[in-house]
Amino acid sequence: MINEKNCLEAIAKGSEEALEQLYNEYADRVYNTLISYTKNSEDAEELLQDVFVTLYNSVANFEHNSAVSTWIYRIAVNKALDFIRKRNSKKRFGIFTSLYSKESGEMKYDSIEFVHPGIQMENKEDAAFLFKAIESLPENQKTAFILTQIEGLPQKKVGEIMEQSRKSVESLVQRAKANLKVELKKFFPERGKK
Amino acid sequence: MDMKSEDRINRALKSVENIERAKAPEDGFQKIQAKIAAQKNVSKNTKGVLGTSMLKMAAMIAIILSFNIWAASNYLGKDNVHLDSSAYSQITTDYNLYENEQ
Repeated sequence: MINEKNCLEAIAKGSEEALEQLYNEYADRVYNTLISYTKNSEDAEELLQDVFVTLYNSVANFEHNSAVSTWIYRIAVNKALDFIRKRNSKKRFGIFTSLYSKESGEMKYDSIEFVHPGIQMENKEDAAFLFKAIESLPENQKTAFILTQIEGLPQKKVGEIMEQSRKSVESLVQRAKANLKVELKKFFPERGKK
Repeated sequence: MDMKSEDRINRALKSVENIERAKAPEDGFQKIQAKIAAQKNVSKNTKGVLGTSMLKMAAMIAIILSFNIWAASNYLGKDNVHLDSSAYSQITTDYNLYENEQ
C-alpha cells in the first residue's frame, strides 16, 4: 500500500518513480473500466496511457478534495466518454470513409464480437450481447452501470466519481438495466416475431 | 415475452457477475514514460525556437534603432542643414532656361 499523498507530491515535483508506483496501484482498475467503454484493447491501452500522462501533467492542480482513486476514475471516465463521442461522430461520417481497416479488412468501428477478457468462459456469448446493448445507453446510465456492475464499485463511490448522490446512482443503474432489457429483446426476439 | 427470450435476456444481464478484472498491458508504464519524454522534448524545442526567434527579433529592432539614431545624429550635427539663399539662387540660375526673360 502506497502513501498516495506523498506519491502525488513527488509526482508534482516530476518523479516518474512515484508515477510508476501509482500506475502499479491503479493501472488494472483503470484499464478494466476503459475496456468496458471502448470494447477494444488497443484503444483502452491508448486511453490508459493518456489518463496517466494527464495525471502527471495536472497533479499540481489536484486539491485533495476527493480521494485519489475518485480523481483517477473521473479522469478515466471523462477520457472514455470523449473517445466514444469522437468515435460516434466518425461513424456518422462513415459514408465518406471506409468502415473497414485497410490492413486487415476488418470492421473498424462495430464489434459485436467483443468479449471482455474477464468474463467467465460459459458467459462469453451472453456477455457479447450485453456489451453491444450497453452501447445504446445514455452516458450517465452507461457510467453508473459499468462502474457498479463491471468494475464492482459501491454506489457511494460511483456517486463521488460522477458527482451525484448515491440515490441518483441507484436510480441510474435501475434505468440502465430496464433499458438494457429493451435493447437485448432486439437480439432475442420472441418466437414467431423475428 | 416468452420464457426462452426472457431467460436469455436475464442470462445476458447476469453474464457480468463474477467478472474478473482485465489486466493492463505489461509494458504500459514504459509507453507512458516515452510519452512524457516526448512531451518534454516538444516543450523544450518550442521554448528553444521561441527563444531564438525572440532574440533575432530583438537584434533586428536594435539594428534598425541604432541606424535611425546614427542617421538622425548625423543629420542634425551637420552645419549645412538649411540651404542658404545663395545656394538656392544658384540652383535656380543653373536651371533657368529662359535667361533672357529675367
